[in-house]
Amino acid sequence: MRSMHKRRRLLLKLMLAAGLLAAGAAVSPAVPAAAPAAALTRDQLRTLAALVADLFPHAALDQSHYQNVVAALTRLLGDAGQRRLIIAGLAQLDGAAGRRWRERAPAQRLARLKQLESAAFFQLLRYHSMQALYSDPAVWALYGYQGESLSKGGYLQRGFNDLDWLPEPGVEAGQ
Amino acid sequence: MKRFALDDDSVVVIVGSGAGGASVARTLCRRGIDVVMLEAGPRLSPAQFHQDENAAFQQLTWLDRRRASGNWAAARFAPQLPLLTVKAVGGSTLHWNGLSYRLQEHEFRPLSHYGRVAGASLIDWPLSAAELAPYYDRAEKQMGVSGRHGLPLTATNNNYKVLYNGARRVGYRRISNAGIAINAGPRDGRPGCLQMGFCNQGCKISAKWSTLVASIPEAEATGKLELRDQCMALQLEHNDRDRVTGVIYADRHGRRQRQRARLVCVAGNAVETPRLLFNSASSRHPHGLGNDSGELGRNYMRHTMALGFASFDKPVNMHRGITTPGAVFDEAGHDGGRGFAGGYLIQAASLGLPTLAGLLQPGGWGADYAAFLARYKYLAGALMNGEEMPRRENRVSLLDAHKDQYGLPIPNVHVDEHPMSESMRGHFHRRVQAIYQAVGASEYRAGTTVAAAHNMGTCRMSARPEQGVVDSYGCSHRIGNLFVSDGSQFPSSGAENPTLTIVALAMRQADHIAAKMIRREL
Ligand SMILES: Cc1cc2nc3c(=O)[nH]c(=O)nc-3n(C[C@H](O)[C@H](O)[C@H](O)COP(=O)(O)OP(=O)(O)OC[C@H]3O[C@@H](n4cnc5c(N)ncnc54)[C@H](O)[C@@H]3O)c2cc1C
Ligand code: SF4
Repeated sequence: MRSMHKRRRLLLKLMLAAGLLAAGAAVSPAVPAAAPAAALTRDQLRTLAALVADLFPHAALDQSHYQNVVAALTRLLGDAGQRRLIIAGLAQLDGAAGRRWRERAPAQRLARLKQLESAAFFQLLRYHSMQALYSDPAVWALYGYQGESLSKGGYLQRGFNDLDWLPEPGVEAGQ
Repeated sequence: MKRFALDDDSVVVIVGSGAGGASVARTLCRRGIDVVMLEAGPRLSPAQFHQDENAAFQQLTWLDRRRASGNWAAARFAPQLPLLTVKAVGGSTLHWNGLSYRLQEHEFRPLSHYGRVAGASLIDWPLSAAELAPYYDRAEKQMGVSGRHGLPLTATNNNYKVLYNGARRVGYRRISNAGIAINAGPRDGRPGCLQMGFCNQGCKISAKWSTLVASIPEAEATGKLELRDQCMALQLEHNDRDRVTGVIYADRHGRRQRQRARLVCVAGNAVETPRLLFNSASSRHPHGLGNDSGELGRNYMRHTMALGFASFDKPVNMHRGITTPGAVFDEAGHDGGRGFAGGYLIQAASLGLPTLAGLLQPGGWGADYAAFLARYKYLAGALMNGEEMPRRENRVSLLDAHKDQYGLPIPNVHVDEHPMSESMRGHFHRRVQAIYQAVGASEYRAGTTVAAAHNMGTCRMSARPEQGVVDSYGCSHRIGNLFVSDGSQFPSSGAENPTLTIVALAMRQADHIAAKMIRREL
């Protein structure tokens, strides 16, 4: 389980990624500067950032990897319908009473997400977070997907058959 | 390039340039018959293909609006994009992996062989394996299918090595990398495979057979083919003697044109083909052209599919090389004891990270899911391709209230899976998990295919006209000069990937058409 400290750092990274911590702005790490009017409020953004971190937690990823994710999500706000959906959804996460969602313990946060996972806002944010994160060549590099290969001549001379912990296949009739 | 006049009614008009359409065209042209081919999508050059899953998807996929309903995964996870087909010259052969297997002898007689299956609309094919065999031979030679007719095998990659060894250890014996329409070495003016790993994205070097790089240029070389790309067929016209007389289409500038025709072959893939026939309804054909039986659009089948991924301690790098490099055939037969009719193939299959993230667990998220994706380098993958039961209510229909950019009602694709599909998936997952565990897998995950890649049955061939739409040559039971030339003709799906059979049927159809034309019967 990620420590509170690490979690706060991750949130900060996400805020940074969203361009909300302008250089020189006097803000404490936990409280980012106000969002531009057209974007989300500071508060909504913090919830969004926490959501992304809970959806696809990767200890190996740093700010640069999450940058695309938050940027992709903020691009969704350009559409009025999606904007309404997202804003209402972030409020729905908190629910009526008690502590706000992002301030709850991890197990409680996850239980709440589980309750809401078929909601339209959740699926919208989940889908676009996933797309942005796992289509990022920097993330590929970390996990071993190598992307484009033509410029390097494919893998014919670069390990398409380099697995050495099993014997070579025989030739059989098959069908 | 050859040009035919719009009012030239001596030409054969073919709708669609994919596996079915281009194969009919190639054979007809080589028999000296003039052909106009209408293709809704653009003609791309292989150099334009993208080695990027998202960009290739945007470039190639048929994105015109469609809807899905029923209990299948597409209705839940991709209700606006239930099919994965291509809109470009070459059709879905740009996407395809090249797996080219013949249907088994008994798969032409599913009703006789499996017996009546409750909740399924099985019929036997009006055609035997022996009748199709010579066309399978021709198709394999033409497409350059590896390991057949003396052609060399493609090299096997890491992902295949894992499946092969695991399958051997659990006792399977029919495991092979033969039967792939990918060049092992230079052949037919196309180079050998460089193991680039982007077979689904078009193959930039054309080592993989597609109609774009093979059949269509071969047909054009005869001087008998005019291919009009970015031309969407909207409606077939007919006269009061039940003969098709021409095709109304929207050209690349959106202008409506009428191409007169001696005969029409429709090969728009199994959703667009019945859709075009529905859109050609008239007072003589109120339920769609040639739909006297009421079977048009019905009996829609995919293959029953599933994905299995396993994580190992040592690297696999499944993405390197041919996307589907070979398969296990031991479960391909019919065995009533397994709880489902028909069989399935276990095909080694890789996905790039972006696609894997979407299909590992559609709708998935959380620490567990993310941790498995982070194992990418250590994953091996397999795909099930199994027989799916036809059902009358699984069907393509039109949503009259929703129109596409041409003003035509959009199609809805309804699938309520037969319970046997889920039994088959369960069987596959147990077997594939055992295969991977036999070579040391530490974790196994069931993945889900969402959009349908194989589409069949919506204009099925039948011995009795009341049970289908076309005869064994793909000729409409009612309209003598209207042919269906794609997978819509299949009465059953079999366990094998469909394209080799589509091509073989198309060549047989073209021979039949040419012979009738010579006898002046068409
Ligand atoms: C990812 C993927 C992998 C696959 N791998 C394999 C494999 O390994 N082995 C195998 O056997 N099969 C495979 N397939 C399936 C294979 O691609 C299809 O079976 C085959 O291409 C179908 O041929 P078709 O002629 O019916 O349709 P298509 O090849 O889809 O061609 C139809 C064409 O018609 C055009 N069209 C449609 N409507 C109209 C209209 N009204 N007017 C004008 N043009 C129109 C479309 O734009 C398209 O170009 C795969 C499919 C996918 C998506
Ligand atoms: S693996 Fe071979 S067939 Fe597939 S894209 Fe690469 S070169 Fe083409």
